[in-house]
Amino acid sequence: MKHSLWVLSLAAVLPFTASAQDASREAREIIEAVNARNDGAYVSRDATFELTDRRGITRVEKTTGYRKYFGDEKRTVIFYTEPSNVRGTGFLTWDYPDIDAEDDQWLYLPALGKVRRISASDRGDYFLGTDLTYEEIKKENKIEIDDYNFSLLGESEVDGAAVVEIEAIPVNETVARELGYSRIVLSIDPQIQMSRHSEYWDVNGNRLKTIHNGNIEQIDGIWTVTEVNVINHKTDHRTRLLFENIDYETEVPDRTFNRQMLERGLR
Amino acid sequence: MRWMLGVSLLWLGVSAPGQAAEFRGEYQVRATQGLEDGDFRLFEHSLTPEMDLALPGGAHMHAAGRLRYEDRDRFEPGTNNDGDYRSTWSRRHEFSDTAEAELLEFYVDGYLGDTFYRVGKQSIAWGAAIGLEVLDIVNPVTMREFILPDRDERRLALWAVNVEQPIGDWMASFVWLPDTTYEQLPKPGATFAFQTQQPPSGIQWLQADKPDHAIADADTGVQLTTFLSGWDVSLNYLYHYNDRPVIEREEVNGSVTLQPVYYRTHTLGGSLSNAFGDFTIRAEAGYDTQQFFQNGSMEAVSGWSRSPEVSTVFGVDYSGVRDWLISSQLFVSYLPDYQQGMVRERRQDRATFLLRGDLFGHTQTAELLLIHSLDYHDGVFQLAWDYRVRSHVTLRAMLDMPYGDGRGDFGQFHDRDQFSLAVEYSF
Repeated sequence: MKHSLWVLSLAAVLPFTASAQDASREAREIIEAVNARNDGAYVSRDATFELTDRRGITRVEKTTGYRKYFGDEKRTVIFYTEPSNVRGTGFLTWDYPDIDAEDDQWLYLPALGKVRRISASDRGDYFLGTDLTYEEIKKENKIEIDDYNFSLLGESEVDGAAVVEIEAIPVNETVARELGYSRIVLSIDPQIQMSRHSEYWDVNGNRLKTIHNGNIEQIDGIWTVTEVNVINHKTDHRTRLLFENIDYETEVPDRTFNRQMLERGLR
Repeated sequence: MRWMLGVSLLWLGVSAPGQAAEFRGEYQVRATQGLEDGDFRLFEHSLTPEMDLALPGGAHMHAAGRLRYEDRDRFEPGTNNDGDYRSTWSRRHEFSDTAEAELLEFYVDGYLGDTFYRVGKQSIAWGAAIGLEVLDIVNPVTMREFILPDRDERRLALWAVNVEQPIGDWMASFVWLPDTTYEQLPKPGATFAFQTQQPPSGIQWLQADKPDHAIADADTGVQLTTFLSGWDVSLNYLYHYNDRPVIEREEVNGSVTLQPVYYRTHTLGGSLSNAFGDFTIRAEAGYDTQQFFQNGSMEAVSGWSRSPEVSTVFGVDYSGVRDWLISSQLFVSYLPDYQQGMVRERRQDRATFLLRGDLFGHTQTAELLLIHSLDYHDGVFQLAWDYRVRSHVTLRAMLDMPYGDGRGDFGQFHDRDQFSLAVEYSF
């Protein structure tokens, strides 16, 4: 009798389990497609950060950035151009495809006059006063697939576009603490293989922030976000990120991504 | 006047047809109050305009200057002493005892194929240590305010040629510095005048025997850098004059004279840095083939002794606490040929501790820095707070407290504690 009940229970649960596995596989495939999206072998662009605190005071910072793939390795460099008191600050990342290989990062602060090697383990830290983390700046609308378990939540609509809602849960507590999230819900537009909107919860399960890609357009044939709006619900701090002068056509020299260039600044 | 030539060149650059110049700059007003002597020792306005200009062929010109008005005249009382330490081309222009103009940087750079060049007045910083001198010796510094400002603020740019050439996985940087400018010590009577600069009674102080030939007295060196299995590696060599002179004593017919004299040395060294999780490790070592140290006290200078010097720095940075950096360095200097009677110990140890936090969405930065000599148990304790009120406006507060044994490099200023407030506007 006891044995029969166990078999009956298993028979009842199995279809749901299989269905959940399918949904999880499908969600993972969508994320893989997002990560496989063509974002150009190289790009140069200017970015304006509008940072608004809870009192409504806005600070504006401008940067010029470059990114280039060296095989599967991605190198990114960002130089601050405004305001004058931070001009020259530079941030260089070599992002390796092997998840076990820690990225290499360097920071140049004009006040030090030297390039300083910095730890790459702080990927959940906020990037220089914005509401985006180092990880989000580095991944550029892509997701480190091995950091999360994914599941399909359903379909919805963002800015008039049909999206698929995917829930991402960090694979373990260590990853959750590194990233600063316990849960993310991504609204991914399968037509352009890009998230249009995402919601984040902190490690304690509290709603943390919202990232909305306000404007997405094709530039040089590549789908590109040109406006990002982030609201931190805990601090009421906001970041508006605007990209301009985006160029996927002009090749960026390899030497742009070395320590010497970081020290020299923009030339 | 050389500075007028510089301004003329700038004007010519800006006037070049078809070339767009970019201007920006900072204005700062700062007030400093001595805490122990009650002296309101500094009230300074400084304007530092900068200009960048794109030149034909992908070249680029950069110029930066500073106009400074300092009402109290305590740090450099009277006329400045640039003639004692600076080459003709690197001197400031004094409008009066309290107002001056200085060309801080002025260079042209660009690429010829893979070779990068920068020619003109510039700063070159070597090594991985922060705020300590082992390999960071290419440019001299000003001691106008001792070591209290950041090293980058104290660094004196030099007229130089810097050529960087990739060689396989290495980058070779060749430097040639015909600018005979050296460490600038404050005049006797200045707030941060060194005890050793105070002329003993009855002893005549002679003009420094300073190198002044741009070619024969030029410094030259090479730095090789690479990225090796995750490590940033540099190898360095510099043939140069020591930036601080040795005091030579001469006695003729019962009359004693002291004269600062500069000597050359070869410095060889290297640096390493790497990150491991939340930790970053930095190490740096240098070997000077000869350094000169005076014997006895200033009242009884009996000559000098020569020894090579080995210097090392080992630093660890920890960034495991979000938005905070904890950093510590140990500096060791050792004289292999130590002679009895030298004014310093055979081995000198110093430690630094830095705690810096980026607070309130990086709108505020708080910093605590301690530099401590393990020999004389003296040092400097500093607190700094920056508040970026608006995009272009920053408030700054600083507390500087040298402490310890009066015989020590830091302790000699133990009664010079000060508190500063500054407002900076960038445009």
